Amino acid sequence: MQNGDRDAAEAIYERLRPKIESTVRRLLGAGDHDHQDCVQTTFVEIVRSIDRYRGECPIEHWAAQIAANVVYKHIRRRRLERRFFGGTVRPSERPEPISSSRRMVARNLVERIREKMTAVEPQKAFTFLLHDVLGFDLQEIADITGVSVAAAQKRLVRGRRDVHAELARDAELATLVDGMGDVP
Amino acid sequence: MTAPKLARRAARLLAAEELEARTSSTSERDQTMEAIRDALSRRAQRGRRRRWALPIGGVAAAAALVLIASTWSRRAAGPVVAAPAAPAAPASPAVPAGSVVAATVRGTVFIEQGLERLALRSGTPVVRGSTIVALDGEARVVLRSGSTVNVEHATRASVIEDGETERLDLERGAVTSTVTKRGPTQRFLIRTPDAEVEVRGTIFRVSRLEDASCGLQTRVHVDEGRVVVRAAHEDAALERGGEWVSRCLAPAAAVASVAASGAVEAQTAPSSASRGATSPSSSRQGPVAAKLAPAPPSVEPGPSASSDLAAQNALFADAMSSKARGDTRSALTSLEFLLDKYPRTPLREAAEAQRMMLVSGSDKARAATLARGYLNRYPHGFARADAERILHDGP
Repeated sequence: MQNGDRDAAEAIYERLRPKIESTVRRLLGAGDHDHQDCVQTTFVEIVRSIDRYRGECPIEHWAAQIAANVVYKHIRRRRLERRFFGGTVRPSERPEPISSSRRMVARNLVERIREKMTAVEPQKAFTFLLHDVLGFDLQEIADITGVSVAAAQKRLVRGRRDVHAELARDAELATLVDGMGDVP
Repeated sequence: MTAPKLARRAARLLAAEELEARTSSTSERDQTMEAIRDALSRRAQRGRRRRWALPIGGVAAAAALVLIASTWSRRAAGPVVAAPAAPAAPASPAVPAGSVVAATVRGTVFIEQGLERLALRSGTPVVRGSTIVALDGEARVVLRSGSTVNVEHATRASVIEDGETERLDLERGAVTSTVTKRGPTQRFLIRTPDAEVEVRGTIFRVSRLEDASCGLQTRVHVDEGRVVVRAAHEDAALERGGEWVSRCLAPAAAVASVAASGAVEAQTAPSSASRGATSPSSSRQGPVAAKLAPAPPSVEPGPSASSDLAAQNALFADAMSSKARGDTRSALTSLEFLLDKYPRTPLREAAEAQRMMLVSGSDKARAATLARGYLNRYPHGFARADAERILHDGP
Protein backbone atom coordinates (compact mmCIF):
# COMPACT_ATOMS: atom_id res chain seq x y z
CA MET A 1 0.00 0.00 0.00
CA GLN A 2 2.82 2.37 0.90
CA ASN A 3 4.25 2.05 -2.61
CA GLY A 4 0.91 2.88 -4.16
CA ASP A 5 0.53 -0.55 -5.71
CA ARG A 6 -2.93 -0.61 -7.33
CA ASP A 7 -3.06 -4.37 -7.01
CA ALA A 8 -3.15 -3.95 -3.24
CA ALA A 9 -6.66 -2.52 -3.47
CA GLU A 10 -8.45 -5.83 -3.23
CA ALA A 11 -6.37 -7.05 -0.30
CA ILE A 12 -6.96 -3.80 1.58
CA TYR A 13 -10.65 -3.95 0.85
CA GLU A 14 -11.11 -7.54 1.92
CA ARG A 15 -9.06 -7.23 5.06
CA LEU A 16 -10.44 -3.99 6.42
CA ARG A 17 -14.00 -3.93 5.15
CA PRO A 18 -15.60 -5.92 8.02
CA LYS A 19 -14.13 -3.67 10.70
CA ILE A 20 -14.85 -0.46 8.81
CA GLU A 21 -18.39 -1.52 7.95
CA SER A 22 -19.20 -2.47 11.53
CA THR A 23 -17.69 0.72 12.95
CA VAL A 24 -19.56 2.94 10.52
CA ARG A 25 -22.76 1.06 11.08
CA ARG A 26 -22.54 1.20 14.87
CA LEU A 27 -21.95 4.93 14.70
CA LEU A 28 -24.44 5.85 12.00
CA GLY A 29 -27.08 3.29 12.85
CA ALA A 30 -28.55 0.62 10.64
CA GLY A 31 -29.58 1.48 7.12
CA ASP A 32 -28.19 4.98 7.03
CA HIS A 33 -28.06 6.15 3.43
CA ASP A 34 -24.62 7.70 3.92
CA HIS A 35 -23.12 4.44 5.09
CA GLN A 36 -21.42 3.61 1.81
CA ASP A 37 -20.01 7.13 1.38
CA CYS A 38 -18.39 6.91 4.79
CA VAL A 39 -16.94 3.48 4.08
CA GLN A 40 -15.47 4.68 0.80
CA THR A 41 -14.04 7.85 2.32
CA THR A 42 -12.49 5.79 5.09
CA PHE A 43 -10.64 3.61 2.60
CA VAL A 44 -9.32 6.65 0.77
CA GLU A 45 -8.20 8.21 4.06
CA ILE A 46 -6.44 4.98 5.01
CA VAL A 47 -4.43 4.95 1.78
CA ARG A 48 -3.58 8.62 2.16
CA SER A 49 -2.41 8.37 5.75
CA ILE A 50 -0.88 4.91 5.92
CA ASP A 51 2.48 6.52 6.71
CA ARG A 52 1.09 7.58 10.04
CA TYR A 53 0.33 4.00 11.05
CA ARG A 54 3.11 3.07 13.44
CA GLY A 55 2.22 -0.54 14.02
CA GLU A 56 1.35 0.08 17.64
CA CYS A 57 -2.00 -1.61 17.33
CA PRO A 58 -3.67 -4.00 14.90
CA ILE A 59 -4.29 -2.28 11.59
CA GLU A 60 -8.01 -3.04 11.94
CA HIS A 61 -8.14 -0.97 15.12
CA TRP A 62 -6.33 1.88 13.41
CA ALA A 63 -8.73 1.62 10.47
CA ALA A 64 -11.66 1.76 12.90
CA GLN A 65 -10.24 4.97 14.34
CA ILE A 66 -10.10 6.49 10.90
CA ALA A 67 -13.63 5.32 10.18
CA ALA A 68 -14.84 6.92 13.41
CA ASN A 69 -13.09 10.15 12.44
CA VAL A 70 -14.69 10.09 8.99
CA VAL A 71 -18.14 9.50 10.48
CA TYR A 72 -17.59 12.25 13.04
CA LYS A 73 -16.70 14.76 10.33
CA HIS A 74 -19.56 13.56 8.20
CA ILE A 75 -22.07 14.00 10.98
CA ARG A 76 -20.82 17.46 11.75
CA ARG A 77 -21.03 18.39 8.10
CA ARG A 78 -24.51 17.28 7.40
CA ARG A 79 -25.80 18.48 10.77
CA LEU A 80 -28.55 15.96 10.92
CA GLU A 81 -28.39 15.82 14.60
CA ARG A 82 -31.64 14.05 14.97
CA ARG A 83 -30.99 11.44 12.38
CA PHE A 84 -27.63 9.95 13.01
CA PHE A 85 -28.69 7.30 15.43
CA GLY A 86 -30.83 5.47 12.98
CA GLY A 87 -33.76 7.75 12.43
CA THR A 88 -33.43 7.25 8.71
CA VAL A 89 -33.86 3.52 8.67
CA ARG A 90 -36.04 2.65 5.75
CA PRO A 91 -38.32 -0.30 6.33
CA SER A 92 -36.89 -2.18 3.40
CA GLU A 93 -33.41 -1.85 4.81
CA ARG A 94 -34.22 -3.16 8.24
CA PRO A 95 -32.58 -6.50 8.93
CA GLU A 96 -34.76 -9.54 8.50
CA PRO A 97 -36.32 -10.86 11.70
CA ILE A 98 -34.41 -13.65 13.31
CA SER A 99 -35.68 -16.65 15.12
CA SER A 100 -34.42 -16.18 18.66
CA SER A 101 -36.97 -14.18 20.59
CA ARG A 102 -34.34 -12.84 22.99
CA ARG A 103 -32.34 -11.51 20.06
CA MET A 104 -35.45 -9.99 18.63
CA VAL A 105 -36.23 -8.28 21.90
CA ALA A 106 -32.62 -7.06 22.06
CA ARG A 107 -32.82 -5.72 18.52
CA ASN A 108 -36.05 -3.96 19.23
CA LEU A 109 -34.50 -2.47 22.34
CA VAL A 110 -31.47 -1.33 20.39
CA GLU A 111 -33.67 0.53 17.95
CA ARG A 112 -35.56 2.17 20.78
CA ILE A 113 -32.34 3.07 22.56
CA ARG A 114 -30.98 4.68 19.41
CA GLU A 115 -34.20 6.62 19.05
CA LYS A 116 -33.89 7.90 22.62
CA MET A 117 -30.29 8.84 21.99
CA THR A 118 -31.32 11.30 19.33
CA ALA A 119 -32.37 13.55 22.21
CA VAL A 120 -28.82 13.56 23.59
CA GLU A 121 -26.43 16.21 22.34
CA PRO A 122 -24.65 14.57 19.36
CA GLN A 123 -21.09 15.11 20.55
CA LYS A 124 -21.84 13.58 23.92
CA ALA A 125 -23.75 10.69 22.38
CA PHE A 126 -20.96 10.12 19.87
CA THR A 127 -18.35 10.04 22.62
CA PHE A 128 -20.50 7.60 24.58
CA LEU A 129 -20.73 5.32 21.53
CA LEU A 130 -17.01 5.55 20.81
CA HIS A 131 -16.00 4.71 24.36
CA ASP A 132 -18.63 2.41 25.76
CA VAL A 133 -19.77 0.65 22.61
CA LEU A 134 -16.74 0.61 20.34
CA GLY A 135 -14.09 0.51 23.07
CA PHE A 136 -11.91 3.44 22.03
CA ASP A 137 -9.94 4.96 24.87
CA LEU A 138 -10.10 8.64 25.71
CA GLN A 139 -6.87 9.51 23.94
CA GLU A 140 -8.18 7.94 20.75
CA ILE A 141 -11.50 9.71 21.14
CA ALA A 142 -9.67 12.97 21.65
CA ASP A 143 -7.76 12.34 18.41
CA ILE A 144 -10.91 11.38 16.52
CA THR A 145 -12.99 14.31 17.65
CA GLY A 146 -10.18 16.86 17.80
CA VAL A 147 -10.55 17.82 21.44
CA SER A 148 -8.40 17.40 24.53
CA VAL A 149 -8.57 14.23 26.59
CA ALA A 150 -10.15 16.20 29.40
CA ALA A 151 -12.89 17.46 27.08
CA ALA A 152 -13.49 13.94 25.78
CA GLN A 153 -13.72 12.73 29.36
CA LYS A 154 -16.24 15.43 30.16
CA ARG A 155 -18.35 14.55 27.13
CA LEU A 156 -18.27 10.89 28.08
CA VAL A 157 -19.41 11.50 31.64
CA ARG A 158 -22.19 13.81 30.51
CA GLY A 159 -23.11 11.54 27.61
CA ARG A 160 -23.59 8.60 29.95
CA ARG A 161 -25.60 10.71 32.35
CA ASP A 162 -27.84 12.03 29.56
CA VAL A 163 -28.34 8.60 27.98
CA HIS A 164 -29.29 7.25 31.38
CA ALA A 165 -31.71 10.14 31.91
CA GLU A 166 -33.32 9.71 28.50
CA LEU A 167 -33.84 6.00 29.05
CA ALA A 168 -35.10 6.51 32.58
CA ARG A 169 -37.72 8.92 31.26
CA ASP A 170 -39.42 6.04 29.46
CA ALA A 171 -40.42 3.76 32.32
CA GLU A 172 -41.29 0.81 30.10
CA LEU A 173 -38.06 0.99 28.14
CA ALA A 174 -36.02 1.45 31.31
CA THR A 175 -37.56 -1.68 32.78
CA LEU A 176 -36.85 -3.63 29.61
CA VAL A 177 -33.24 -2.45 29.40
CA ASP A 178 -32.77 -3.21 33.05
CA GLY A 179 -34.39 -6.58 32.60
CA MET A 180 -31.97 -7.56 29.86
CA GLY A 181 -29.24 -7.53 32.49
CA ASP A 182 -25.68 -7.42 31.34
CA VAL A 183 -26.04 -8.94 27.91
CA PRO A 184 -24.99 -11.12 26.30
CA MET B 1 -16.42 6.46 37.83
CA THR B 2 -19.45 4.26 37.37
CA ALA B 3 -21.53 4.69 34.28
CA PRO B 4 -25.19 5.14 35.23
CA LYS B 5 -26.75 1.70 35.19
CA LEU B 6 -29.12 2.20 32.28
CA ALA B 7 -26.38 3.79 30.16
CA ARG B 8 -24.07 0.89 30.94
CA ARG B 9 -26.67 -1.67 30.00
CA ALA B 10 -27.64 0.26 26.90
CA ALA B 11 -23.98 0.34 25.86
CA ARG B 12 -23.76 -3.39 26.29
CA LEU B 13 -26.90 -3.92 24.25
CA LEU B 14 -25.54 -1.70 21.51
CA ALA B 15 -22.18 -3.44 21.60
CA ALA B 16 -23.80 -6.86 21.54
CA GLU B 17 -26.03 -5.88 18.64
CA GLU B 18 -25.51 -8.42 15.96
CA LEU B 19 -24.54 -6.80 12.77
CA GLU B 20 -25.61 -8.97 9.93
CA ALA B 21 -22.95 -9.06 7.31
CA ARG B 22 -24.04 -6.21 5.11
CA THR B 23 -23.77 -7.55 1.65
CA SER B 24 -22.27 -4.84 -0.46
CA SER B 25 -23.78 -4.71 -3.88
CA THR B 26 -21.41 -5.31 -6.78
CA SER B 27 -21.59 -1.67 -7.77
CA GLU B 28 -20.78 -0.49 -4.24
CA ARG B 29 -17.84 -2.85 -4.11
CA ASP B 30 -16.61 -1.74 -7.51
CA GLN B 31 -16.93 1.92 -6.62
CA THR B 32 -15.02 1.46 -3.38
CA MET B 33 -12.32 -0.57 -5.10
CA GLU B 34 -11.98 2.10 -7.75
CA ALA B 35 -11.68 4.79 -5.07
CA ILE B 36 -8.94 2.78 -3.37
CA ARG B 37 -7.11 2.27 -6.67
CA ASP B 38 -7.31 6.01 -7.38
CA ALA B 39 -5.90 6.82 -3.99
CA LEU B 40 -3.11 4.28 -4.51
CA SER B 41 -2.28 5.79 -7.90
CA ARG B 42 -2.06 9.28 -6.43
CA ARG B 43 0.16 7.87 -3.74
CA ALA B 44 2.45 6.25 -6.30
CA GLN B 45 2.69 9.56 -8.22
CA ARG B 46 3.67 11.39 -5.07
CA GLY B 47 6.29 8.72 -4.38
CA ARG B 48 7.78 9.17 -7.90
CA ARG B 49 7.98 12.94 -7.39
CA ARG B 50 9.75 12.36 -4.10
CA ARG B 51 12.20 9.96 -5.73
CA TRP B 52 13.12 12.68 -8.23
CA ALA B 53 13.35 15.27 -5.52
CA LEU B 54 15.71 13.19 -3.44
CA PRO B 55 18.63 13.00 -5.89
CA ILE B 56 18.35 16.71 -6.60
CA GLY B 57 18.34 17.45 -2.89
CA GLY B 58 21.20 15.00 -2.43
CA VAL B 59 23.35 16.73 -5.06
CA ALA B 60 22.70 20.08 -3.43
CA ALA B 61 23.55 18.69 -0.01
CA ALA B 62 26.74 17.10 -1.33
CA ALA B 63 27.79 20.39 -2.94
CA ALA B 64 27.17 22.19 0.32
CA LEU B 65 29.23 19.61 2.20
CA VAL B 66 32.15 19.97 -0.23
CA LEU B 67 32.00 23.74 0.16
CA ILE B 68 31.96 23.53 3.95
CA ALA B 69 34.76 20.95 4.00
CA SER B 70 36.98 23.02 1.72
CA THR B 71 36.36 26.16 3.76
CA TRP B 72 37.14 24.24 6.92
CA SER B 73 40.39 22.79 5.60
CA ARG B 74 41.56 26.22 4.34
CA ARG B 75 40.84 27.74 7.77
CA ALA B 76 42.53 24.88 9.64
CA ALA B 77 45.62 25.09 7.45
CA GLY B 78 45.92 28.85 7.55
CA PRO B 79 48.20 30.80 9.86
CA VAL B 80 45.37 31.94 12.07
CA VAL B 81 43.51 28.95 13.36
CA ALA B 82 40.01 29.74 14.39
CA ALA B 83 38.59 27.53 17.09
CA PRO B 84 35.74 25.48 15.75
CA ALA B 85 32.35 26.11 17.22
CA ALA B 86 31.71 24.04 20.29
CA PRO B 87 29.50 21.05 19.72
CA ALA B 88 25.90 21.51 20.69
CA ALA B 89 26.24 19.30 23.72
CA PRO B 90 28.82 17.05 25.32
CA ALA B 91 28.03 13.60 24.09
CA SER B 92 27.73 11.03 26.79
CA PRO B 93 30.59 8.54 26.41
CA ALA B 94 28.18 5.65 26.73
CA VAL B 95 25.97 6.95 23.98
CA PRO B 96 26.60 6.03 20.38
CA ALA B 97 26.65 9.17 18.27
CA GLY B 98 23.64 9.87 16.13
CA SER B 99 21.12 7.74 17.91
CA VAL B 100 18.61 8.06 20.67
CA VAL B 101 19.34 5.78 23.59
CA ALA B 102 18.36 5.15 27.15
CA ALA B 103 21.48 6.21 29.04
CA THR B 104 20.43 5.14 32.50
CA VAL B 105 17.49 3.13 33.67
CA ARG B 106 16.40 2.48 37.22
CA GLY B 107 13.46 0.32 38.34
CA THR B 108 10.81 -1.11 36.05
CA VAL B 109 10.74 0.64 32.71
CA PHE B 110 9.48 -0.81 29.46
CA ILE B 111 9.86 0.25 25.87
CA GLU B 112 7.08 -0.42 23.41
CA GLN B 113 8.09 -0.76 19.79
CA GLY B 114 5.22 -1.65 17.51
CA LEU B 115 3.42 -4.50 19.17
CA GLU B 116 6.42 -5.52 21.23
CA ARG B 117 7.06 -4.51 24.80
CA LEU B 118 10.55 -5.03 26.15
CA ALA B 119 12.33 -4.18 29.36
CA LEU B 120 14.32 -0.99 28.83
CA ARG B 121 18.00 -1.33 29.71
CA SER B 122 20.82 1.17 29.77
CA GLY B 123 22.18 1.53 26.26
CA THR B 124 18.97 0.35 24.56
CA PRO B 125 18.34 2.33 21.36
CA VAL B 126 15.06 4.21 21.39
CA VAL B 127 13.84 4.33 17.82
CA ARG B 128 11.38 6.87 16.55
CA GLY B 129 7.82 5.90 17.40
CA SER B 130 8.83 4.02 20.55
CA THR B 131 6.98 4.59 23.76
CA ILE B 132 8.74 4.56 27.10
CA VAL B 133 6.59 3.28 29.91
CA ALA B 134 8.16 3.98 33.31
CA LEU B 135 6.18 2.13 35.93
CA ASP B 136 7.93 2.33 39.27
CA GLY B 137 11.28 3.31 37.77
CA GLU B 138 12.76 6.11 35.73
CA ALA B 139 14.98 6.50 32.69
CA ARG B 140 17.29 9.12 31.24
CA VAL B 141 17.13 9.28 27.48
CA VAL B 142 19.81 11.03 25.44
CA LEU B 143 18.63 12.42 22.12
CA ARG B 144 20.66 12.86 18.94
CA SER B 145 21.37 16.50 19.74
CA GLY B 146 22.75 15.61 23.15
CA SER B 147 19.67 16.91 24.95
CA THR B 148 18.52 14.66 27.75
CA VAL B 149 15.08 13.77 28.94
CA ASN B 150 14.48 12.27 32.35
CA VAL B 151 11.38 10.14 32.21
CA GLU B 152 10.04 9.99 35.73
CA HIS B 153 8.13 7.14 37.32
CA ALA B 154 4.48 6.49 36.38
CA THR B 155 5.07 8.10 33.00
CA ARG B 156 4.20 7.19 29.45
CA ALA B 157 6.04 9.18 26.79
CA SER B 158 6.74 8.55 23.10
CA VAL B 159 9.61 9.67 20.90
CA ILE B 160 7.78 11.02 17.85
CA GLU B 161 10.53 12.86 15.99
CA ASP B 162 14.27 12.60 16.42
CA GLY B 163 15.78 14.66 13.61
CA GLU B 164 16.14 18.41 13.31
CA THR B 165 12.94 18.55 15.23
CA GLU B 166 12.98 16.50 18.37
CA ARG B 167 9.53 15.83 19.71
CA LEU B 168 8.16 13.81 22.57
CA ASP B 169 4.52 13.19 23.30
CA LEU B 170 3.72 12.97 27.00
CA GLU B 171 0.59 11.01 27.67
CA ARG B 172 0.86 11.07 31.45
CA GLY B 173 3.47 11.41 34.17
CA ALA B 174 6.39 13.82 34.05
CA VAL B 175 9.60 14.43 32.12
CA THR B 176 12.42 16.82 32.89
CA SER B 177 14.41 17.95 29.87
CA THR B 178 17.85 19.49 29.56
CA VAL B 179 17.99 20.93 26.09
CA THR B 180 21.15 21.88 24.27
CA LYS B 181 21.45 25.12 22.35
CA ARG B 182 19.35 24.96 19.22
CA GLY B 183 20.39 25.94 15.73
CA PRO B 184 18.07 28.04 13.59
CA THR B 185 16.41 24.97 12.12
CA GLN B 186 16.40 22.85 15.22
CA ARG B 187 13.38 22.50 17.43
CA PHE B 188 12.63 20.72 20.64
CA LEU B 189 9.01 20.10 21.49
CA ILE B 190 7.04 18.29 24.12
CA ARG B 191 3.38 17.77 23.46
CA THR B 192 0.65 16.80 25.86
CA PRO B 193 -2.98 16.41 24.85
CA ASP B 194 -3.71 19.99 25.80
CA ALA B 195 -0.44 21.88 25.32
CA GLU B 196 2.73 22.09 23.30
CA VAL B 197 5.98 23.28 24.84
CA GLU B 198 8.86 24.51 22.70
CA VAL B 199 12.25 25.53 23.99
CA ARG B 200 15.60 26.92 22.98
CA GLY B 201 18.32 25.70 25.32
CA THR B 202 16.95 25.28 28.78
CA ILE B 203 16.05 22.97 31.63
CA PHE B 204 12.40 22.51 32.24
CA ARG B 205 9.90 20.00 33.51
CA VAL B 206 6.59 19.09 31.91
CA SER B 207 4.17 16.99 33.88
CA ARG B 208 0.75 15.65 33.20
CA LEU B 209 -0.60 14.49 36.50
CA GLU B 210 -3.91 14.25 38.18
CA ASP B 211 -5.01 17.10 40.32
CA ALA B 212 -7.48 16.51 43.14
CA SER B 213 -10.00 18.95 41.72
CA CYS B 214 -9.20 19.17 38.01
CA GLY B 215 -8.19 15.75 36.78
CA LEU B 216 -5.23 15.46 34.43
CA GLN B 217 -3.43 18.75 34.06
CA THR B 218 -0.33 19.79 32.20
CA ARG B 219 2.17 21.75 34.25
CA VAL B 220 5.38 23.35 32.96
CA HIS B 221 8.15 24.59 35.22
CA VAL B 222 11.26 26.31 33.85
CA ASP B 223 14.54 25.90 35.73
CA GLU B 224 16.75 27.68 33.23
CA GLY B 225 16.32 29.52 29.96
CA ARG B 226 13.10 30.32 28.18
CA VAL B 227 10.15 28.23 27.12
CA VAL B 228 7.12 28.89 24.96
CA VAL B 229 3.90 27.12 25.85
CA ARG B 230 1.11 26.89 23.32
CA ALA B 231 -2.31 25.77 24.47
CA ALA B 232 -5.75 25.91 22.94
CA HIS B 233 -6.60 29.43 23.99
CA GLU B 234 -3.31 30.97 24.99
CA ASP B 235 0.38 31.18 24.30
CA ALA B 236 2.76 31.90 27.12
CA ALA B 237 6.47 32.65 27.35
CA LEU B 238 8.04 31.43 30.56
CA GLU B 239 11.34 32.68 31.94
CA ARG B 240 13.52 31.04 34.54
CA GLY B 241 11.45 30.03 37.56
CA GLY B 242 8.17 30.48 35.70
CA GLU B 243 5.38 27.99 35.88
CA TRP B 244 2.33 27.35 33.69
CA VAL B 245 -0.63 25.17 34.47
CA SER B 246 -3.25 24.12 31.94
CA ARG B 247 -6.86 25.06 32.48
CA CYS B 248 -8.91 23.10 34.91
CA LEU B 249 -11.26 21.15 32.69
CA ALA B 250 -12.51 17.96 34.23
CA PRO B 251 -13.58 16.72 37.61
CA ALA B 252 -10.91 14.46 39.02
CA ALA B 253 -13.39 11.81 39.98
CA ALA B 254 -14.11 11.32 36.32
CA VAL B 255 -10.50 11.33 35.24
CA ALA B 256 -9.62 8.48 37.57
CA SER B 257 -11.10 6.12 35.06
CA VAL B 258 -9.29 7.40 32.01
CA ALA B 259 -8.15 4.02 30.91
CA ALA B 260 -10.75 1.87 32.53
CA SER B 261 -13.93 0.76 30.95
CA GLY B 262 -17.08 -1.15 31.74
CA ALA B 263 -17.58 -2.46 35.21
CA VAL B 264 -14.03 -1.81 36.23
CA GLU B 265 -14.67 1.88 36.28
CA ALA B 266 -16.52 1.41 39.51
CA GLN B 267 -13.37 0.09 41.04
CA THR B 268 -10.83 2.75 40.22
CA ALA B 269 -8.91 4.15 43.12
CA PRO B 270 -9.79 7.51 44.55
CA SER B 271 -8.44 10.12 42.21
CA SER B 272 -6.67 11.91 44.99
CA ALA B 273 -4.47 8.89 45.29
CA SER B 274 -3.50 8.78 41.68
CA ARG B 275 -1.16 11.70 41.47
CA GLY B 276 2.40 11.05 40.49
CA ALA B 277 5.67 12.96 40.44
CA THR B 278 7.72 12.43 43.51
CA SER B 279 11.11 13.05 42.03
CA PRO B 280 13.30 15.69 43.62
CA SER B 281 12.58 18.01 40.76
CA SER B 282 8.87 17.81 41.37
CA SER B 283 9.13 19.80 44.54
CA ARG B 284 10.83 22.67 42.79
CA GLN B 285 8.79 25.82 42.66
CA GLY B 286 9.98 28.79 40.75
CA PRO B 287 10.17 32.11 42.55
CA VAL B 288 7.96 33.69 39.93
CA ALA B 289 4.93 31.74 38.82
CA ALA B 290 3.49 32.85 35.52
CA LYS B 291 -0.15 33.31 36.35
CA LEU B 292 -1.54 32.55 32.96
CA ALA B 293 -4.25 30.17 33.96
CA PRO B 294 -6.36 29.87 37.06
CA ALA B 295 -4.03 27.53 38.89
CA PRO B 296 -5.91 25.22 41.19
CA PRO B 297 -4.74 24.88 44.77
CA SER B 298 -2.85 21.78 43.86
CA VAL B 299 -0.09 20.43 45.98
CA GLU B 300 2.58 18.07 44.75
CA PRO B 301 2.11 14.68 46.33
CA GLY B 302 3.95 13.31 49.29
CA PRO B 303 6.81 10.94 48.81
CA SER B 304 5.88 7.33 49.35
CA ALA B 305 2.22 6.39 49.79
CA SER B 306 0.99 8.60 46.98
CA SER B 307 3.79 7.55 44.68
CA ASP B 308 2.86 3.91 45.31
CA LEU B 309 -0.71 4.69 44.43
CA ALA B 310 0.39 6.62 41.38
CA ALA B 311 2.46 3.65 40.28
CA GLN B 312 -0.51 1.33 40.87
CA ASN B 313 -2.77 3.60 38.86
CA ALA B 314 -0.16 3.83 36.15
CA LEU B 315 0.10 0.05 35.96
CA PHE B 316 -3.63 -0.36 35.78
CA ALA B 317 -4.06 2.43 33.26
CA ASP B 318 -1.26 0.94 31.22
CA ALA B 319 -2.96 -2.45 31.23
CA MET B 320 -6.22 -0.90 30.06
CA SER B 321 -4.46 1.06 27.39
CA SER B 322 -2.72 -2.10 26.14
CA LYS B 323 -6.04 -3.91 26.18
CA ALA B 324 -7.65 -1.17 24.13
CA ARG B 325 -4.87 -1.53 21.58
CA GLY B 326 -5.51 -5.24 21.40
CA ASP B 327 -2.19 -6.03 23.05
CA THR B 328 -3.38 -8.68 25.49
CA ARG B 329 0.09 -9.86 26.41
CA SER B 330 1.25 -6.44 27.58
CA ALA B 331 -2.03 -5.90 29.39
CA LEU B 332 -1.56 -9.16 31.29
CA THR B 333 2.08 -8.31 32.07
CA SER B 334 1.03 -5.03 33.67
CA LEU B 335 -1.88 -6.55 35.59
CA GLU B 336 0.23 -9.39 36.94
CA PHE B 337 3.00 -7.01 37.87
CA LEU B 338 0.45 -4.86 39.70
CA LEU B 339 -1.03 -7.81 41.58
CA ASP B 340 2.36 -9.26 42.50
CA LYS B 341 3.99 -6.05 43.56
CA TYR B 342 1.02 -4.44 45.30
CA PRO B 343 -1.08 -7.29 46.70
CA ARG B 344 -3.09 -4.89 48.87
CA THR B 345 -3.83 -2.42 46.11
CA PRO B 346 -7.31 -0.91 46.12
CA LEU B 347 -7.38 -1.81 42.43
CA ARG B 348 -7.05 -5.50 43.23
CA GLU B 349 -10.60 -6.53 42.43
CA ALA B 350 -10.63 -4.59 39.18
CA ALA B 351 -7.23 -5.98 38.21
CA GLU B 352 -8.27 -9.54 39.02
CA ALA B 353 -11.47 -9.15 37.03
CA GLN B 354 -9.62 -7.75 34.03
CA ARG B 355 -7.00 -10.49 34.19
CA MET B 356 -9.69 -13.15 34.35
CA MET B 357 -11.46 -11.68 31.32
CA LEU B 358 -8.26 -11.35 29.33
CA VAL B 359 -7.14 -14.88 30.13
CA SER B 360 -10.57 -16.29 29.21
CA GLY B 361 -9.85 -15.41 25.60
CA SER B 362 -6.90 -17.76 25.36
CA ASP B 363 -6.73 -20.17 28.29
CA LYS B 364 -10.10 -21.36 29.54
CA ALA B 365 -8.67 -23.65 32.24
CA ARG B 366 -6.66 -20.86 33.83
CA ALA B 367 -9.55 -18.46 33.42
CA ALA B 368 -11.77 -20.90 35.35
CA THR B 369 -9.21 -21.04 38.17
CA LEU B 370 -9.03 -17.27 38.26
CA ALA B 371 -12.83 -17.03 38.19
CA ARG B 372 -13.12 -19.38 41.17
CA GLY B 373 -10.53 -17.31 43.04
CA TYR B 374 -12.41 -14.14 42.20
CA LEU B 375 -15.75 -15.53 43.43
CA ASN B 376 -14.15 -16.77 46.67
CA ARG B 377 -12.69 -13.38 47.40
CA TYR B 378 -15.53 -11.26 46.09
CA PRO B 379 -18.75 -13.28 46.29
CA HIS B 380 -20.75 -10.14 45.50
CA GLY B 381 -18.13 -8.51 43.28
CA PHE B 382 -19.05 -6.45 40.27
CA ALA B 383 -17.63 -9.07 37.90
CA ARG B 384 -19.52 -11.96 39.48
CA ALA B 385 -21.64 -12.51 36.38
CA ASP B 386 -18.52 -12.68 34.21
CA ALA B 387 -16.83 -15.10 36.60
CA GLU B 388 -19.89 -17.32 36.67
CA ARG B 389 -20.11 -17.28 32.91
CA ILE B 390 -16.47 -18.33 32.62
CA LEU B 391 -17.07 -21.20 35.05
CA HIS B 392 -20.22 -22.15 33.21
CA ASP B 393 -18.45 -22.21 29.85
CA GLY B 394 -15.77 -24.34 31.45
CA PRO B 395 -12.31 -25.26 30.15
